[in-house]
Amino acid sequence: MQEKTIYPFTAIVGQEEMKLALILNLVNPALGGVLIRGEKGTAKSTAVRGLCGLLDEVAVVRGCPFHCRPGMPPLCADCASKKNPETERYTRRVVELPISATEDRVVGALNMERAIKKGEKVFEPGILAEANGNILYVDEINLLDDHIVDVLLDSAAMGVNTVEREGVSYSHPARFVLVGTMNPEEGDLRPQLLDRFGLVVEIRGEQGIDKRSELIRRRMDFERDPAEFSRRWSNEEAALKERIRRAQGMLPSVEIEEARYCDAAKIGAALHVDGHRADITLLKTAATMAAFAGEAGVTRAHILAAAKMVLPHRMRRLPFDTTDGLPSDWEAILDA
Amino acid sequence: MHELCYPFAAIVGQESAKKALMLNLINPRIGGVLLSGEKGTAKSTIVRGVAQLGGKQVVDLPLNATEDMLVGSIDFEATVRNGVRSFAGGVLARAHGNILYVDEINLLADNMAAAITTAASAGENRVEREGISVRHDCSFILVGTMNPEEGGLRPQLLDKFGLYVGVAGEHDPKLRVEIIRRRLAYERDPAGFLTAFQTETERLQKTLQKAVALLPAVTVDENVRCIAAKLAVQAFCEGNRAELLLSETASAIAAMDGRKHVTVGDIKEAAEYVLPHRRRELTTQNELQQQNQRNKQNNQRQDNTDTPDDVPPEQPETQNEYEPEDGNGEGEPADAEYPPDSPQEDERADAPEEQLVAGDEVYQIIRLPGDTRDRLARKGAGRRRKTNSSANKGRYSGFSAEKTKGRDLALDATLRAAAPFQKEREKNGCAVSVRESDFRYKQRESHVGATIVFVVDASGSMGAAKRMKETKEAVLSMLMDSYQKRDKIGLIAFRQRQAEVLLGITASVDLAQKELQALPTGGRTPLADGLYSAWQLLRARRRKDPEMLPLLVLVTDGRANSPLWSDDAVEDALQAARLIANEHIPAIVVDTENDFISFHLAERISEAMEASYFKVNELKSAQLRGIVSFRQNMLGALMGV
Repeated sequence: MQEKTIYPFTAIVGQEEMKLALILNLVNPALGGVLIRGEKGTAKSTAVRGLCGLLDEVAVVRGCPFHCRPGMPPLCADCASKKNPETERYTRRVVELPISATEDRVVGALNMERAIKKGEKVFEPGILAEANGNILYVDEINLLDDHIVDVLLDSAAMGVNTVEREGVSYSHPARFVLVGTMNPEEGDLRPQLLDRFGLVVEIRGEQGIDKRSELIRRRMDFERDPAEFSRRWSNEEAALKERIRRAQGMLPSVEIEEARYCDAAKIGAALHVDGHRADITLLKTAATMAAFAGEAGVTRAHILAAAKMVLPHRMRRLPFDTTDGLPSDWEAILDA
Repeated sequence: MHELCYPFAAIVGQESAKKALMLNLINPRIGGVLLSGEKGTAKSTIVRGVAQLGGKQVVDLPLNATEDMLVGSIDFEATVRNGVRSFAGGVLARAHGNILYVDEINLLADNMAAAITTAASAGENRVEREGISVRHDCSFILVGTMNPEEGGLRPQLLDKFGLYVGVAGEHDPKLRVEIIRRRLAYERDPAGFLTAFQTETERLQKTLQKAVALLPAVTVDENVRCIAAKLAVQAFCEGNRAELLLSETASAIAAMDGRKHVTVGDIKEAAEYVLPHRRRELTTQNELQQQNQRNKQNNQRQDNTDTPDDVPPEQPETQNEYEPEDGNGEGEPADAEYPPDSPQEDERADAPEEQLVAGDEVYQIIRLPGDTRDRLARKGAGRRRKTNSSANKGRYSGFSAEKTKGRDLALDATLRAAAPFQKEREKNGCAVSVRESDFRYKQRESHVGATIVFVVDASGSMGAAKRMKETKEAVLSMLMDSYQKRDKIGLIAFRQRQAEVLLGITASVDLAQKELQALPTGGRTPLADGLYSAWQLLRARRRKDPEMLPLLVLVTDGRANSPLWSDDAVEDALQAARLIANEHIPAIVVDTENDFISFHLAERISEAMEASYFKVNELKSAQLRGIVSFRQNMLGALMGV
């Protein structure tokens, strides 16, 4: 079937925090993904699907089902054994995991045709293989079956998918940016899964009449003629893509002063956030924000902005904790 | 080949339903129609009629369909026989370009509903099942019917329906006579009947065709868009879909009318279809607290939270005090006199005196009865029980040679079964020859959560002596347990004159917790109504999901004093309890009465309900668990503790 024209990311009206969280993960895939929680009809899926217009082209080993990139470990066993592999261009993409997916398609399984036709035991890669090096998107992630969540957690933690089933024994790299969307009305996410997400943003519909009116206009324009609409936004898309690329280049050299480490640690301690993953993610996110803003060093403002995405879901250790956002008197905490 | 069906043009009345469907034919972006109403109101006839008018087919989704029948799956047997993977399209594949019709969609299992909404919003169906990975275009007009008495619709699914029409039978005797007359004429001579309405049918078809052609040229100007946005704002619709649908629907209305410009009138007409099921009271996260303080006593009885109603947002009539930070439970308002306790002396109890007490200590509860593995095949998700799964869901845990409905082929086991015979068999160019006798089917295992309905006594007598605090803590503790076990829960409170479903069956323990904390106590004890509401809720749910594990938890002191059917409140409560026992709904009674003189009423109700009986303090397991709230954490941190 023909690929559908996707609504351009840059044409989404408002929802700046969600857009920023997604962009930060493109700049720095090590942030650990985004969970977008919000009410119905808030362009959650549109934004995630729109990311594919911003993803870059990379060189991968020709024919490798895991899109291994030479010189960028981890590589699959096959690619690791090749000295100078032939490469091809590959555009990174948004891989969707439908919630009706069965486990064998997620982790991969025995290739049936080969088994029957040739009697060979061959591994057939699944969605996790396709997701390696890409964005893995789960819509309505809170409705995902528990046993699928388990395999997702395993690979997200290890960066490797290990398959031991149906007489097949195989493992391959599975590093991906996990993006989930959900409507909290439909139930909560398992705490272990929630914890996996580096960033969480809460969104609701845009409220201003002007914005709502603009939203109707753009969306209707798009529906009438998707191709023409995309063409009109192509400059915006290209500009954002370029900005992301520049931020990627800048990221390693973004400076983090000693004081900012203290800020992160203080916030983590003050909010009783468990473990140190939060502190680390907080700094990484702040640094990525600085890079995206084109600034050479991390400021306290970056730390505070990052904290809004990194911390709330980690403070909520128990289901009935009535956490309603972060305190407003940050300065008091940081200067204490 | 189309079967003959009753012509659309001949349908009497039901103008809204007819128009809503025609608008969808003109502009498929509207996203379908939900027809809500009693049985026998020609819903199905209208849908089939409009399909014929628009040259589309009606693809039915039966409620008992399995997920693989809906989304499609591998044709295992063909694959194994021929060695070539083949995909067998499901209902969604057939629905592409047509009308997907789900009768009684409110009884559809959640996983099926999720698959439909995903396909509807993406415009394509992605199948990643059983070794097959397929995407196909999938855009359809979703038409659902529901009888609201049978329970509500998942909010996510409700929102996917562009339009909503409440369908009722015609009341005008003249019209009713005409309906019967035409129906009989049609049945006597279908072909002749069709001919008689041919001119009208052609006129409608022409209108449709013209409107479809005109639609791309229809424009919505700035002013009209703002009106659409304002209407959506006024109705407190979630997200931004409502205003978009208002504009799309109004465009179709204009096109049907042969106009190129959408007017404010078009938007207003569209609002009658677009807003009823999206209108809500203030329910954003931040406003929940205030919202819950509204006085709920005037709420009309609502068995499901999805029933749209046009009641404007209520203003709080009683100012309730809410003291969440009160850590020691002594924050009950000082004016709380000892409320009426015995069923006899309660004449003052009608006065809307209310108080609000928060529960703040959560503890680990004892193991509830019924937490064991069961053998009956059940479907669902959750962790309360491990069970063999009947639907094609869950972890592949074993195989068997016996094929039952919904089981899929276990390839590895099938190949192993075929292996010993390979020497003797003809192979048709394949490496392996597999015959029917080798087929092995997967057995799946999944965890099933319970569906627990909490029925909470919030009457005046419960305000006494910290009884409500204990109650809330007990229910919170059980909710916490439910959260860990991924149960679905519902919450019913009874106080004043009647019971109220605060929360239909949902997986969101968080919402339940919020509703519970904001629940004030006061007034009489309509215990019978509470139990009866729970009985209705669980019965409706059971129709939707026959394999669910229901559990009713009644928290009360048993002092019923507001009758439902007779003039004896206690007898009515016992009667309602017997209904629950007859329906075989497992139940637990948590008795909050701890006075020196006990009436043992809760015990009697428990016996009638064949329930397990606990005193509230027996619920706590040895290991106490306190939850330190975030605020306390913060305070501690700021004070350098």
